Amino acid sequence: MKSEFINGGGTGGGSALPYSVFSCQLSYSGGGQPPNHIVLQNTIGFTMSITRDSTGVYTCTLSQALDLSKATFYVGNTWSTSPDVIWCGIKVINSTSFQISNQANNTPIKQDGLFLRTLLEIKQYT
Amino acid sequence: MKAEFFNGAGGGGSVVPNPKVYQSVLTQSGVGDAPTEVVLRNDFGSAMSFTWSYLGVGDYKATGIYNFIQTPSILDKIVFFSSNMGFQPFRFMSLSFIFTNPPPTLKDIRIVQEVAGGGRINTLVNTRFEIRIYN
Repeated sequence: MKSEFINGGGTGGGSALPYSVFSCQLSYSGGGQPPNHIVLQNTIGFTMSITRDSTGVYTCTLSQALDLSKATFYVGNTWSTSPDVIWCGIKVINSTSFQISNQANNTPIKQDGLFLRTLLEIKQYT
Repeated sequence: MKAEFFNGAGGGGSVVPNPKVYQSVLTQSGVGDAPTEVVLRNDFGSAMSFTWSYLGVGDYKATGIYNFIQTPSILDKIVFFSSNMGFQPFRFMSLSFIFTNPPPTLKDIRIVQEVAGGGRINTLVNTRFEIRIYN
């Protein structure tokens, strides 16, 4: 077995992770507000804040800079409360901020209120 | 089994996966055909499995046995995601998840998918389906 991602965080064996990870769950918090985020795993160690730029567009700001040459970002998929398909997108601005957005059902109109138990994950490789 | 995200805190004993992961690959193409699933990893063992069925174009149901509402609730520690890909010829695709049972029995999951500019579509090709539950 290749233990590619073993975290030997204790005193025992195990290999070092090839990356640090920040994972959180995004859910909409109410009209005109940015989504809430619940941190699920954070071995990078930064904190993140989210502000609402416009309808369905939010900026995430990190408390410390990433090395963008070795960082990956992922957002999606979103739960739906009706049989709508939600599209999620992400746009990196710089080493400490990026935007996330979403829309529904092939309608190219961004909307608030669509993130629901959505995974947002950043991996910083060493 | 691949030990992705295992947390080896402690000292050389058994490791507890964090998160616990259910990961499979879905394939579907024809009208009326249920998705076929190949399970790649299942840290939940016999407590989690799904039976897939076809509801309509781009609309599928996974009838499960694991109740995602636990006591206390674990809904804020769960993420579901997929690869939004696998459609040929290449077009952008997305899918979303919907619980089909009313609480407190959240076992069955509906998946709806669509292709950019084209609406609902029947096509899952080596599409990753993953559930993570964090400690």
